Amino acid sequence: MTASPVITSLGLLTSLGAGRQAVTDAWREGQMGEPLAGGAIDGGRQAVSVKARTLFPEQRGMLRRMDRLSRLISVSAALARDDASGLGDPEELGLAVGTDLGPLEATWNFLTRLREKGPSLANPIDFPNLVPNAGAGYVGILLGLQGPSQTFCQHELCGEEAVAWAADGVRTGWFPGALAGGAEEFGEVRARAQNATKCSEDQQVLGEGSALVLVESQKRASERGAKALARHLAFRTETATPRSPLVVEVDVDAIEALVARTLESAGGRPGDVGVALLSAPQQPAIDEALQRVLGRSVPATDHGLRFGSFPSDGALRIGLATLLLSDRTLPVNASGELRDGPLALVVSVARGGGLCASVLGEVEA
Amino acid sequence: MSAGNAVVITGFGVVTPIGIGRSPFVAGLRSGSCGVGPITLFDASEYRSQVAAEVRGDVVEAAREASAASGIPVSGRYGRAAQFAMAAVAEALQHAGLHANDLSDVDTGLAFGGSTAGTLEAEAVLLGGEDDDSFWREVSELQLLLAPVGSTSDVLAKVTGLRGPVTTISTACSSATNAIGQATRWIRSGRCSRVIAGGADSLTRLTHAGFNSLSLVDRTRPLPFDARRDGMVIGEGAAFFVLEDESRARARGAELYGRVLGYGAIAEAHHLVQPRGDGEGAARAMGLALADAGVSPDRIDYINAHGTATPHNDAAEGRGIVTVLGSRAPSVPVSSTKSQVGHLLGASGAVELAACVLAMNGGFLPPTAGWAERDPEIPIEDFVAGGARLGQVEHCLSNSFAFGGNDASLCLGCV
Repeated sequence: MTASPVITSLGLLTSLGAGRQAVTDAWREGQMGEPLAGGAIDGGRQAVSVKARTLFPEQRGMLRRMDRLSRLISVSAALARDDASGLGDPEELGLAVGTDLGPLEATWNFLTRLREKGPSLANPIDFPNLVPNAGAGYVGILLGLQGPSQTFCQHELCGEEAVAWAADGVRTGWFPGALAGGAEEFGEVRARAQNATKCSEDQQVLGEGSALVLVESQKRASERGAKALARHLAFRTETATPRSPLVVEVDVDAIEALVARTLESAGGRPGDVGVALLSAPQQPAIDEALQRVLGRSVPATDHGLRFGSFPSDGALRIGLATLLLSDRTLPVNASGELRDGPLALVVSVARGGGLCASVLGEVEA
Repeated sequence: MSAGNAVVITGFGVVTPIGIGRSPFVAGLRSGSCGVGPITLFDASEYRSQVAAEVRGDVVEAAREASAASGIPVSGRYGRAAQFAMAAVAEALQHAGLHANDLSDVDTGLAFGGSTAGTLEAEAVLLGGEDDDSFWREVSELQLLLAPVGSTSDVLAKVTGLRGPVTTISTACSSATNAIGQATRWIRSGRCSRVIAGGADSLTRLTHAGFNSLSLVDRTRPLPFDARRDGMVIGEGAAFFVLEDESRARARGAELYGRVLGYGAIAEAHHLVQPRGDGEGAARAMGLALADAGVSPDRIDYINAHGTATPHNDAAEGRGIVTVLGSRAPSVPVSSTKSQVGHLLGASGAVELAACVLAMNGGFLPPTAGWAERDPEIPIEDFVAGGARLGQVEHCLSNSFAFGGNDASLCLGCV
């Protein structure tokens, strides 16, 4: 059984705003994210709690118990629910969340309290928030999603991988749709850890955010009158074995091979690719690989500068690709370039050697 | 029933509190031994419970032969959970008659499930320091880089040299079961012809403190399904499987130890920590695994339960099993391997699946060690009490239920 997966709703919580329209407007205007102290980009730190209370007015108790990452995920899930096409019957939906670092700040706080106060004062309310799938658990409860639920943690691949899992589940008939994406929080611990490791994220602006998209079968979307914004055509992940398992090394040959195979899976031709959304820190090297495969330079988004980078931002790039595929007039970047083909290519490179690529396509009128 | 390539198990390896390697593990299962003892990895004197099921002995030394045979350099460089994982992968490859050199095609993948793998070493620096700043002065770059759960996959990808997909799934106590389910889907769809799949976790202060704070831990030993049960005991270890497309496995003359027939996964959407009391979520996961397998409930000979020994879980799971098996429930043996190895959290589903494969191939039923007193709230009759016993298993279920209401079940069949 095969079904064609399409993206019909977007829940975007970013430094440029919350919700599809706000992000689209800010992107069109060429806005940049608001820098925080230390250079990171604000993903709406103050707005998230307020937004959460507005979106889930009956669930204030649960919202208070949540850690910040879970709140980010819950808000973007609600934004997808309230987007133009909604979710349809939530009970039949799956859920996938990608997060590399998980609830890092809450985990640090729990351990710090353990050190300072001793085991007898470890907080039983905080502990359940410390599993990486806490955010998915809360969203399942808040929205009543009862299909399969996965949390992916493979570093910089996890956001794209979560969306691809949803598309694959739809394509194979495992479930008719799933909410999927990725989220990461920014805080002092992450900032200090990035500085202490120095290995992978030089030259980038740190950020945070959450992006969940609804992937469903074309049939389900049509039956409930939801407008398809983009098609999810193919995903592939491979590994370029690095010299050390813990750093990002860009293997241009491996990326070239991966992109060629993914494009072939999508049934696309090099000339069809009209926009590229690449892992920001490795963008020049990935671009070199793309030029080999595509035979030309393709307009690329400048999302890293405007949203900031975070490990699961592949999901945000899927969301941005969906915006670009559903609106030809939306500029690809602040330079005003426009998409020049019907396909969008999303490529992520991870520490440990992981590579992945997704191909999305515009929906024919 | 799902279409696609048939998925077979051609090798597996284990690191558990009752033995490192398949032979000691199966001997422990048969003897009903219990791996619970005083915690030695850290000072637990201030905790409600001071016991855990630790892996005893030198894992690197125990894996020496498998390491040489498989080409996997099992070493102590990368931390406890990664050591467990490397040792289990090395044994699994040796068992499957494979070497690391055989894994370098893009059709061979890795699916890893874990929850706190990588945490132990970094948390030791934080908890051992005087303040936050001392952590940043003392922690090593390696300890930081290994802390995210996905780093264990990086280590495995490096030592195996594989070039295909690598994924890390972290859904708390169902992590490894979901990872094995994902690997099964990769093989069925043709994305991979071979996947190394499983899970690893080590004991951490974080989880021990957390479950203590929730009063979900027993002070002595876990007694799943028993009326006297008072909570889980945290364990540690790893198990990994070599899963292959059956036609490829047969073509290379591999020995087959079982089939992964079905995978069911659901979200309860009920409560972050507690399962639904009626067992509906557990029943749905098991039912979907059976439907996926094309196996009717009356062909199930044995269930390896999640069986944490917490009051809520065991009662709900018991009700869920009765919902699935109906009138057959009294005659189907159900046991919890956690009675022997403790709760291995993200790795538990993999180690318990290994117990199922050993049972299928060894003609025995693993016991619920220590079970003695019936709980009227749990409507199951046969907990394989009093020790392992002889029994033929052709089809079985292995359950894993987790925080977040994340329930998963696998259906296995013998070859």
